[in-house]
Amino acid sequence: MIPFALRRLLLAAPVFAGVSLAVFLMIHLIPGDPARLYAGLEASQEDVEGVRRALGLHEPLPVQYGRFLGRFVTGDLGRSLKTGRPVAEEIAARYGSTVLLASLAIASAIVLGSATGVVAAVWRRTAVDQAALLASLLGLSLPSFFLGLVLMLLFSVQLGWLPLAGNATWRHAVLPAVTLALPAAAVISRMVRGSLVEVLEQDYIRTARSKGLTEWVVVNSHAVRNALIPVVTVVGLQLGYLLGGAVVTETVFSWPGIGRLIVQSIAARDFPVVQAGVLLLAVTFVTINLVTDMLYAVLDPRIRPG
Amino acid sequence: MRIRLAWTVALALAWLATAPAPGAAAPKAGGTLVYATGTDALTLDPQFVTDVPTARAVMHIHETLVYQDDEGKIVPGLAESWSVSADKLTWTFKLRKGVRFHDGTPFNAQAVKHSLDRLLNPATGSPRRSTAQAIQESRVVDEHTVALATAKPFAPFLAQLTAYNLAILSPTAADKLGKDYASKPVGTGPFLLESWKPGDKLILARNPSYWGQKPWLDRVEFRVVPEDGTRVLQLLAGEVDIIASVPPIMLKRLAGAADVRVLRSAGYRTIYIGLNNKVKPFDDLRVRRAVAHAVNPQAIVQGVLGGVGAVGGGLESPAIGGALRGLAPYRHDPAASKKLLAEAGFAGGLKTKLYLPTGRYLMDRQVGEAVQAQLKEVGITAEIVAPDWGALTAALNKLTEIPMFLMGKGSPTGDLDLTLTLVTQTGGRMNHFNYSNAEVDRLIALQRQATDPAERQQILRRIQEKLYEEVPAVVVFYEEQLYGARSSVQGVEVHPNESVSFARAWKQ
Repeated sequence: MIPFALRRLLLAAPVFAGVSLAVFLMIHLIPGDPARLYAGLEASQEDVEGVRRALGLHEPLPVQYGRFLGRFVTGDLGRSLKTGRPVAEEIAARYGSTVLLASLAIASAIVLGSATGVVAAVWRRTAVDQAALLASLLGLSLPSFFLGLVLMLLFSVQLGWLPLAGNATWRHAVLPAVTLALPAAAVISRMVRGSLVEVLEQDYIRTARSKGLTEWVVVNSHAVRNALIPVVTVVGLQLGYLLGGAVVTETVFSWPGIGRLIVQSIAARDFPVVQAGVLLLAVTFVTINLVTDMLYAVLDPRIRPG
Repeated sequence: MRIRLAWTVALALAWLATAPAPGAAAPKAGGTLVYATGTDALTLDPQFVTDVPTARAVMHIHETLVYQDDEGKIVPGLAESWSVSADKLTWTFKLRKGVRFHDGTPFNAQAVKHSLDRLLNPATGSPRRSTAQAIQESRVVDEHTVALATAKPFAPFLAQLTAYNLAILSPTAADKLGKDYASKPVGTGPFLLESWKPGDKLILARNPSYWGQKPWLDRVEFRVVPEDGTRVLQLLAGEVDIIASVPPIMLKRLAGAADVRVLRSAGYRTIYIGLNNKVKPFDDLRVRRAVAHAVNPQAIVQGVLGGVGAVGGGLESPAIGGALRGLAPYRHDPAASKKLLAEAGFAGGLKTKLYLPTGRYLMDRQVGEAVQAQLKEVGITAEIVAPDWGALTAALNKLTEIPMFLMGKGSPTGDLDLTLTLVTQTGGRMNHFNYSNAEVDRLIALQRQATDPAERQQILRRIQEKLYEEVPAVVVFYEEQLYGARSSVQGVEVHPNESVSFARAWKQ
């Protein structure tokens, strides 16, 4: 298993290189001058050129990319063009916040999604199944800013149970986590239901039932584990998306996460932050995929890693 | 007898006038004021400040030699008094005595020279180095006297010194910390930095050794809350004490709330529709006037901004000292507009593109859409293009790419010289509508050196009248500033130049 993991990480290296080159090219080729954006419209051309030199932006693109790679391998992610602070500092704190929120959201989503999915599958083609379908559609269709603001109005303003925004206490995490969890739970729920229904119609399930086992045991011991593989895939994707930072939710709840940082940095053409941030997301996704693949092997012994 | 009665009545009235109003309380010391802001400060080094939210934090920690009051008059700051030499080239400032920086370093002429030299030094890398370029040399005359020399007579010199980039830093801290000064600032201001979690919150603490009237508050917290709606909800819930930039649509909600009130102030910013004077058809004065008659500023202010905004015809907001007041907007007259278009050869209407920033100015997109609708009524079909700010500024720098756009202009120094030079002089960095008039250029150069205020005002008047005639851009409205505050908050000072001061604020 370990050599498998190492081999996969090594294979990921060209992926990272490709991502970093693609991001570098994209952010440099879109119109917009970071030196001018930083100095402001009122600054003199002289001031702007001064800023450009100080930030190393006057050099030709290949040289700039070379410098970026050179610093990167020594662990130096550069300094933010906008604030002058080390990029590693800017990203670390915010990534931590995002990980916290994403973990809470995915845990809640897994619990809620699986429960609804199993119930919908076991009572398939009944009113319960329809209700679960409706709830999922709602969860998927509500835009996050709308959902967030509605939750805020209800639980913070009307009922006063929870604080409105920020990340000071555990209470502050509840509403943003719920806002993120509901759509993820909806996706997971549909996947669990679909996959479980497929398994429940298999021959070996009929065999288990005819052995005289209760439906509860049949579902839990035999069906669920085999239904998990597609679900694990979906959970992995949802987690990847959440770790990418849900920008809208972070903005509505003033949650200082990495999604908002990257979007703001793109708008300000803050290249070092965008490059490092997107690379971090790429690493995150690759790692999640790796863990997912390893989980397949655990869940289904027929699947051998590698 | 009647005289005695009159006297008694007069005295009684005078006593009533000076008696405190019922309900007004004396300032109470202590407490933390939480100010929710949309964006965080980017730096705390005054010489690297390029935006207003950053300036608001920085200017509680640092101070400038002089300030401007709301009428545009120059008042003492760290400098007590000043005089200018007969040849108008040297300005001598007598500095306040007994002032210390937050780290104990004494404030004196050497500190002033140190700050100004640091700003002008290219090695510092300040993006606003040019704000000090009028200063040719700064000389320490004695411990508390500094002389600043200019190359040519520069009438707006004192106004220039009120710019936040020219605030005074502690020389010991600046030398010791280098680039780290940006997160560990040391000024002379009423507050000092207690802690800063970037992107989250910035906390200022009362400076107990401040030279002036010490703040009532123990602390001020600048809390970052990016979403407009969230800020308003937090204010209503009492989670924060004061918020800036209230969206006009929320005004009713705030006005209706019991323990919240609205603070309104005039502003220096003009929102205008720029017409590219170098691109057909806007190089034709008749077409520009046609656009001016098509736009209905009153309707936009009422309909889109909920009445929050002032209208006028001059490019300079009347709140700025020296700006002409009473220039009415071009009469809203679609018939006159169509007639002018026909005269210019566009009887069948005309097609163009209107570029809009989004999220840069309050309701910018909606204002742009309203203008688009008003232009349609006279036969001008304007397609809206809304790139992000970076792409928009890049496109504006290309001379002929953008025919028509919505933009704002403010006044960083509260003096017309800088804004006229930037926006209306030929080749000015913010002259995005490419206006070029040799006579206006000559007058701008003239006013800059006219040290006699009356003479200068005459020249400024002529410039503004000329601009009004030539209408290079159509003024939509002048921004008004809207703050929301809990009723318990008193003593907050909001200025038309968008700065806000909590130095004399207190909470009941």
